[in-house]
Amino acid sequence: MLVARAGWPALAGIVLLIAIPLMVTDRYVLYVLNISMIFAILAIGQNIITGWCGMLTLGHAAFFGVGAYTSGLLAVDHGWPFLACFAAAGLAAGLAGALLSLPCLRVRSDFLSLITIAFAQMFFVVVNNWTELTRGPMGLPRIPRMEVFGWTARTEAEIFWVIGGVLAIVMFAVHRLVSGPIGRAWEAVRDDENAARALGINVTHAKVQAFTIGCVLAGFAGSLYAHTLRIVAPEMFFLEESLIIMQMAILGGLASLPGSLLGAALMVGIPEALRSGNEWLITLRPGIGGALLLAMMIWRPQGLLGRLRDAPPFLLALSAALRGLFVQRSRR
Amino acid sequence: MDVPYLTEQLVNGLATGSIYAVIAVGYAMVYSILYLINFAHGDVIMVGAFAALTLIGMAFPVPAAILAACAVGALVALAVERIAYRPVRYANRVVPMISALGAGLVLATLAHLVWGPEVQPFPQLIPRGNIEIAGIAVPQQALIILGLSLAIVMFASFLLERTRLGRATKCVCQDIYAAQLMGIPVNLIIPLVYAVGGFLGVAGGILFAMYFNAVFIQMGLLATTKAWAAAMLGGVGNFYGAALGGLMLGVAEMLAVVTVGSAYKDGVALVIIVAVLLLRPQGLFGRRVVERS
Repeated sequence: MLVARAGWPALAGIVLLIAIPLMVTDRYVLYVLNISMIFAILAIGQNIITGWCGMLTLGHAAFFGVGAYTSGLLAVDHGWPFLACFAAAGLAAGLAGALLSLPCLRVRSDFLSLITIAFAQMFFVVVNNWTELTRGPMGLPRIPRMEVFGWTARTEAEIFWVIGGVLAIVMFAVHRLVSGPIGRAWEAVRDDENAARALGINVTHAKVQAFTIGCVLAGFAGSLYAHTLRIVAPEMFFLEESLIIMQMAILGGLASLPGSLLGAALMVGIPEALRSGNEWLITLRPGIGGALLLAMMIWRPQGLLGRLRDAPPFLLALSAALRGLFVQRSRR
Repeated sequence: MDVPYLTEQLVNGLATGSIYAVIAVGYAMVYSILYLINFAHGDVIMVGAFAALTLIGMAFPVPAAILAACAVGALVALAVERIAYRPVRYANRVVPMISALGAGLVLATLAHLVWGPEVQPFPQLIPRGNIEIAGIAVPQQALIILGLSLAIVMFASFLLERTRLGRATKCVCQDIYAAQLMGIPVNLIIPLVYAVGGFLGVAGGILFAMYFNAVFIQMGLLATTKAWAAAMLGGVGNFYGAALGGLMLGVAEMLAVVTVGSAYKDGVALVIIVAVLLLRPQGLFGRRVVERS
């Protein structure tokens, strides 16, 4: 069914998904790929909120954390199976997102960006201080591995298949969403709120919907993260992570699915490749990220893989390849 | 919980609140013109506070050092406006917000490189200690800061109400295109408002640094969130609303510290703001504004 609907690119993507862990034997490379796929899910969630619906959220890492802690705590304290934890993580993050966004989005989406910062700080304080539940700053250790219907993902390759499977399903679902009426409503709200309202779109509803779906994805990613690293700690979900997630979405291109993949791969991959304990790199990273945001907004607000008519040729080629792999050729 | 303790805390709350008010009014002025969340506002303030620290450390006379630091703040704000905002002023709303955020990050990193990541103590220019009013000991520094902040807010209000710049600003607030057609130099007014916002903000930032005896990099984000919370509480884009909102935010945080402990004070502020948004979306003193697209 997946193949029939999304065509050959999807099939190619699935083949690649199965083949990569068999071809790449370096466990470290696979680990980096796994982490970037988790962050790709996060970047897609951020992209739904910021790219398609035009709202700024700076608390995505907190929803990521809500998912990770929900999943980890249910597994460690109550022995829930992975799939149940995974579902609960998405549900918890989505619920938190809906409850947080509803009062803000009834008014102006501007409020959301500051409220999400406040929420992220609150989340950190609560997780750090509520020691009886969350084990506090030392983190929550010994989270069980991912296990699906009695099969446990033990090696990096097996973890790759689980995360890659989730990513594929997420990409397929989001692609269907944004190319249908829901996604068009989001884009209309982003481009001109009054015009969207005049066309009969319930603006508040569309915004809360986009925000909640983005948060659900963050929750899923959090669950995967918790069961991959097998430990969660409060500082893994601090504000800096939110900024990095946003940089991923913007670097790759707002409102672009392949862009989110590319952004996540670059933002996870480049620091890993340069990892040599460079003190100055750690100091400069937020500044470089900030300059990147600034430059992208001024010269390429559509991102590296956004609308491509005036992009340099090598990017066109790269984008065509990525597009061919992951996205159905649209009506254009 | 006796009366003297509560009074002391109330004065402390008012002092913090008045500092928030100073930071928030500059912010509200910018917001009321461009409907842009100025994420770099706090970082401009942080840079200004560090500049004040350096200048005082170089044995400049204190008033000159503070004025110069405020001027640095104004200059940085001008630079941020020119580099990060003007190129994207008429783009989709989310674009300038992101570039503002980027500018803030760049400023924070530059400050990190120049002044280092440590929390640095700020010289105590106003003596601490208690004075007795009607038999109750009141922290002296808090009272003086409260007075200074109110004076700054009144000065800003004078700027806005009684000067040509202020009136032009109000026109630009009402309708940017109509103001342009009436011959108001919009491209001059907007940077000037940013500069005034930076100037006032740094004044508030120095008071903040003095009161908490600390200057640090994360102060920028802290100031941005507090300023925004105060402005939102009072009614966004409303000058006096922002000032009152700042005072109320300070008192509310003080109440939170007294009742549930200091770790959760930001949380209490969040809950208050969400409650206000639910009941009175335009803020406590605001008029309804239609969202611009």
